[in-house]
Amino acid sequence: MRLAVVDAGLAYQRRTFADFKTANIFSDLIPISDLGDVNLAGHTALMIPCRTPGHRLTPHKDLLERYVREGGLLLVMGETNPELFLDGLEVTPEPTNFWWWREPDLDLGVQIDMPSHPVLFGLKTQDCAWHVHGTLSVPEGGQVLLSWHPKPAVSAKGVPGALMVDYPLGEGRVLVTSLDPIYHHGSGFMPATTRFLERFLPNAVAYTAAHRKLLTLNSNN
Amino acid sequence: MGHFIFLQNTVSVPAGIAAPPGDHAVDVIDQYELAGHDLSNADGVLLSQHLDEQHLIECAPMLDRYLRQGGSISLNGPVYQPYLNGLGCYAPLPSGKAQDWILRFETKHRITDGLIADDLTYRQGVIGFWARGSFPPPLNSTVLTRMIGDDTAADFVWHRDGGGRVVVHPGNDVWFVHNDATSAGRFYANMLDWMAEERSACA
Repeated sequence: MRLAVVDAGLAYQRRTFADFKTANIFSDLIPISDLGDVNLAGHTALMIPCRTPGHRLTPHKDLLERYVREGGLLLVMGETNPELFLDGLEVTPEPTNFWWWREPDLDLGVQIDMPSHPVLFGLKTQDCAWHVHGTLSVPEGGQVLLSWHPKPAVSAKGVPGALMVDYPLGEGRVLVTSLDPIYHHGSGFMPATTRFLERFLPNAVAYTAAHRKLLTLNSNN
Repeated sequence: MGHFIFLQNTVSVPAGIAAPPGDHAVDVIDQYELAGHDLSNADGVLLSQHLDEQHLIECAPMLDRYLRQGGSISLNGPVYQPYLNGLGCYAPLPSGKAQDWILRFETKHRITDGLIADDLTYRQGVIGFWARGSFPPPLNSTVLTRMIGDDTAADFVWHRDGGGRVVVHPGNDVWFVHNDATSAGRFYANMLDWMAEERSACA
């Protein structure tokens, strides 16, 4: 039970797919230009990797919504402008603070709100802290998995908010984050992002299997 | 004044592209509409780190043709699959140590004119924004900068067999620091100036 992933052809995405090839995370790489021609129903989970240009997905908005409503698990990573292809989701952008880690004893303000959620298994807050690019609204029925609580030294105007949300939509679920580990890992920056992916990606596969099991149980009842 | 083409694949146009330095003009075209455009009059084509490489590979014949006509390309980022014929694979410096990413200039060149190497190396005292690895420079390349760790070339100008030139920068898009308070911002401005001058010299 692996993840199908949209392949936008970006160097950092392709390097990450290759780096995790032996970990059996990804099943199918779906070229973004082929998205409209693929039968998504055959995939339990579909990942939109970091920095996939959201405006390229706007024409596929209905297809993605139908995929989730019919039981799919959609995993949306950071800096993808998800508001361009997911109804009801809003992003509040945050200017990037590249320098917070240079201040002694200052932390970025990332908080793990649901350590028991399967995708966060084994992750520590320091594995989730590199940059905050924005916060997310919480659609109806959503759970906040990670959130941001900046001190003024990190962001003078930053408002606390969600960094990772898991919400139901029809028979399926959307798990969305504003964190962009694939961009940084695949560009060779920020070791925390590699630690994050080493946990998060296998966890996402496990979550996919659990999601499939739940769907099967529901359909049998 | 030079005339450049930027291929866009991001949701918004980067600030350094929307307001280029000097009196240069940059036309923004959607990456996937490249095939319908005539590049022959452009002084340079600006290729970002955020482009669809698979699509660029399909466009390689068109880019090759443009270079053979005497054009210039700015190639940016730690490319995963080289999309220009003749360019080798990107590799990070094996040590992964910041001190090894400190840059020095190899030679005097129009593109690095007036720049201070430390302004490329450090941003607010932090090393590694400019380059952490690179591509092996093909034959007929002029190396602009080297990383002192093992003296690996970072930025270089590749003079292509058959014509044209490619400015290879193995880090974040050079226009990312277009308004930097240090001399680092001049790299992009100098590069556009140089590309426009090279084009008029060839005309």
